[in-house]
Amino acid sequence: MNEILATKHLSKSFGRVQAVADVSFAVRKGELLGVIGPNGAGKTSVFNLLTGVYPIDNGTISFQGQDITHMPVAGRSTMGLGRTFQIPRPFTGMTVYENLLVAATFAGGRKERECRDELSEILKLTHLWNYRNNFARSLPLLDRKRLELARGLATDPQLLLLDEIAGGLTEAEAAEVFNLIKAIQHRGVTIVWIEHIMSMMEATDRLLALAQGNSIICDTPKVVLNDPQVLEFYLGWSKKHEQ
Amino acid sequence: MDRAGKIRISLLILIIVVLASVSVFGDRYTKMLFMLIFLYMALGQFWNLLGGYSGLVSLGQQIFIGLGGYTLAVTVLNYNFPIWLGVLTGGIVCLVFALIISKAIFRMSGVYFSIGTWVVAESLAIWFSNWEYVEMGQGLFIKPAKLFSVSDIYYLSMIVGIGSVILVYFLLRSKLGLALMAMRDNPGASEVCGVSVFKNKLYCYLISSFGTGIVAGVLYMNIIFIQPNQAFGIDWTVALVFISIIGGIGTIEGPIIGAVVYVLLQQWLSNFSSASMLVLGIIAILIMLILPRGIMGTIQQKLGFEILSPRRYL
Repeated sequence: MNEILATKHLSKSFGRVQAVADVSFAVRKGELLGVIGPNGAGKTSVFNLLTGVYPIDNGTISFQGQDITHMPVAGRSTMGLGRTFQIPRPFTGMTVYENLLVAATFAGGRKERECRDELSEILKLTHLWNYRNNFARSLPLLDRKRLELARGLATDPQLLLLDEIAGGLTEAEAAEVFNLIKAIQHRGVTIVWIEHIMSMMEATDRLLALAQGNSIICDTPKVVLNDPQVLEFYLGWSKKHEQ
Repeated sequence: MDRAGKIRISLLILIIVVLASVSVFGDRYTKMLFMLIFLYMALGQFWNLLGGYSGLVSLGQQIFIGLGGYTLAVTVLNYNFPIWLGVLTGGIVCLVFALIISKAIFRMSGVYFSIGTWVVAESLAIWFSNWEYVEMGQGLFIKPAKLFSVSDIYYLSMIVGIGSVILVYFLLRSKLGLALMAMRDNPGASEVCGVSVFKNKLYCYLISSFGTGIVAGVLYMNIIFIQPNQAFGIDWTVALVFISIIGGIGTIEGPIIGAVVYVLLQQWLSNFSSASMLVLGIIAILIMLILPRGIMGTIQQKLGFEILSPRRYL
C-alpha cells in the first residue's frame, strides 16, 4: 500500500472529556481524503494530534514511514506535514509575502532568494498576488482563508491538512476554494480535508467518518455516505426513523 | 542599493553627525540628558526584543544590569582590566548567566516567567548584599571610570544607543527576525510553519542579556558607584516596560520614542520625587487605554508608516 500517513488507535482526553477515543486510518499518497463527522466528533483534535499541537495519550502516528508520534510540531512541518487552521491565524503584523516566507524558510528549509519564484507562483495560484505587500491584518475573511492555504503550500508539504477551509464562505467563494484545492492536489500534494459542505465531500477520492472520537469507516464517498452508522451519527437518520 | 536604502543611509549619517555635535556644542546638562536617552533607548531595545517579539515579559532585566555593572567594577578594580575589556566581560558574564538560568526559567511561561525572572534578580540582590568579595551592601566605587570625560562617555553611550537600534534592525531583517515577528503575531501558527519557538526564544534571551550587560557597563562608567539594591532593583525594569509601552511594544522605533519621553518626564518630575513614580504610572495606564499599541504602534496601525522597517517586499 502506498501510504503517506498512518495512525493506529489514537486517543486523547482533556480531563474527563474524551476528545479522541480510538482513531485509526491511513492516507494514500496523492489522494484527497475528506473527513466528516458531527460537531464534537474529534476532527480538529485529530489534526492537532497529527501535527503535534496536542501531545498524544495513546496510539502511534507514522508519516512517510517514520514514527512521528512524539516529534515536536516544528519537526513535523519540516518533514512535509503542513496544515491550515479552521479560524485563520495569519501573522497580522507581517505582509502576505512575509507570511509565506516564514513557512518557506523554516518548514521548507530554503533561503529567500531560492524560493521567491515559487512563492510568486503560490501567490498567483491563490489569487493573493495583488496583496503580496499588504499587511495580513488588512485582508477580509476569504483572503485570509486563501492565505492559510498559500502559507500551507509554502511549507512545501507532502501532506496538507485543511481544517474547514471553505467554512463561512459564500457558495461562489467556496466553489473557488474547492477548485483551488483540486489544483493543489494536481501539483502532487496529498490532502486531508475536514469540511461540512457535503457536495464538496462527495467529490473527494475517499472519505473518513468520525463520531464520538472514533473512526467509523474510511472508504469511497458513495460507500461512506450510505453506511448505516454514518447516517445515524452524522445525518441523524436511522432505519428506525425510516420505519 | 535602491533609492530608499540610500536615503536611509544618508539620514542615518546625518543623525549621527548631529548627535555627535551635541558633545562639542552642548553644555554638560544637555550631554547628560542625551546620554540617558541613548542608554535607556539601548536597554529598551533589548527588553523589547524579549517582551515585544518573543512574548517573554521579563521583570528581571535588572539581573543583567547588575551583573554587567558588577563585572565591570570587579574586573577593573581587582584585576586591572582595561575599561573596554571590563564592559565586554560584563556582556559575556550576562550571556553565560542567562544560559545557566534559562534551563529553569524557560520551564515557566506568561506571568510565571515574569515572576521567576524577578525572583532571580531579588535573589542576586540579597546574595551580593552579603558577599564580602563585592564589599557587601556597601557597594563598590569604580574609580578608574573617573578618568573618562563626559564627552568620552557621551560618545560611548551614543555608540551603544545607535548600535543597539542597528543591531535590532538587522536582527529583525535576518532569519531569526522573521521567526521572532511570526512568534509575536501567533506562536501556535509559527510552530506549524516550522519555527522552533523554544530555540528562537532562547537565542533572543541570550542576545538580550549580552546587550543589556554591555549597556550596563557603559551606564556604570557614568554612575561610577554600584550597590546591590540599586543595581538589581526592579526600578530598572519598570522604566524599560514604561519605555516600551509608551513608544510601542514590538516596534523598533518604540523604545527610541519611549526613551525620549521617559527621560524628559523623569527630568521634569525630578522636583517631585515622591510623586514621580505615581505620575509615570498614571501616564502609562492612560497610554495603554488610549493607545494600546503605544505611540509608534498606533502610527503604524493607522497609517502603515514605519521609519525603520524590517519589511521584505516582493
